[in-house]
Amino acid sequence: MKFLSFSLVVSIAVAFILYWIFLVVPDERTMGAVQRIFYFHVPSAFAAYLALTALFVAGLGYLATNNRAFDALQISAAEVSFLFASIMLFTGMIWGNAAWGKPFTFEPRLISSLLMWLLLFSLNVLRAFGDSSKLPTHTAALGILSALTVPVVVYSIKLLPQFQQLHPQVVQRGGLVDPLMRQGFFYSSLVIMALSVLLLWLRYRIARIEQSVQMLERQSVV
Amino acid sequence: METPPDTYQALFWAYLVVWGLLSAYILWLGVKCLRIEAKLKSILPSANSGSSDIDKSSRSESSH
Repeated sequence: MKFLSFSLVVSIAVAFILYWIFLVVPDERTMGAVQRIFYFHVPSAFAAYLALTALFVAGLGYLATNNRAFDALQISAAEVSFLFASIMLFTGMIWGNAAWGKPFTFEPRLISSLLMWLLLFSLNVLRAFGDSSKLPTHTAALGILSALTVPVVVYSIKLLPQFQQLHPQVVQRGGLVDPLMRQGFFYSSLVIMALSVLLLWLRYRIARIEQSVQMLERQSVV
Repeated sequence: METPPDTYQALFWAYLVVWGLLSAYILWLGVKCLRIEAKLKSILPSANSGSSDIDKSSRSESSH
């Protein structure tokens, strides 16, 4: 019941932020309508960081306790973080192509984001094809490593001066002058992170049921 | 006053990526749920028949 109520609230909130982004927020002066990607691109990054934090905790928890609940959380966090990291990367490339004329440049923020995405991709491939007896331990190790890229991505923007980078620092440098834009960013960040929590919860429940079914299978064979 | 460029096409593709990836993931979760349900249905009848065989054999031993 709690899960269904939360799903309903998040669905309504998503509809609300779509209304806000498309019908309330004004067009940005220099980039036009494409700037509205910002209201999904940045919150998707936040959602990916949140899921990676869960992956970090689950990895440490599994290595310390060998508890299958932590393995289920690892599975869930690996997939959800990869989903939102993909959304962040691909929307960023589309926006970059429209704003800079090229989808990707070799600068710290973009390279570190790509590294994070590649680690998450390899984690999910490992999960799909790895040796089942050692999978939880290997997932924990690679998951912890993937989670450690979050501070690298966040602080990479400081490595070079702003004029040497194409990726902007909108929030840190006092962008979003219009209050409607600031509100839109706040609401979309909140809702996308809530969506991330919902998907983490859903996938965790499915993983726990899968573990129970595996146990039943083993018992019925014996 | 300078009018901003028309970039709705890029906006469309970006939102298509967002909703496409989210929908694909939710659909994949739905498929996973159906597979678990099918596996559970295949296990549970065999688990029930296993226990009834044990009951029959224990009853026949006690009668002897």
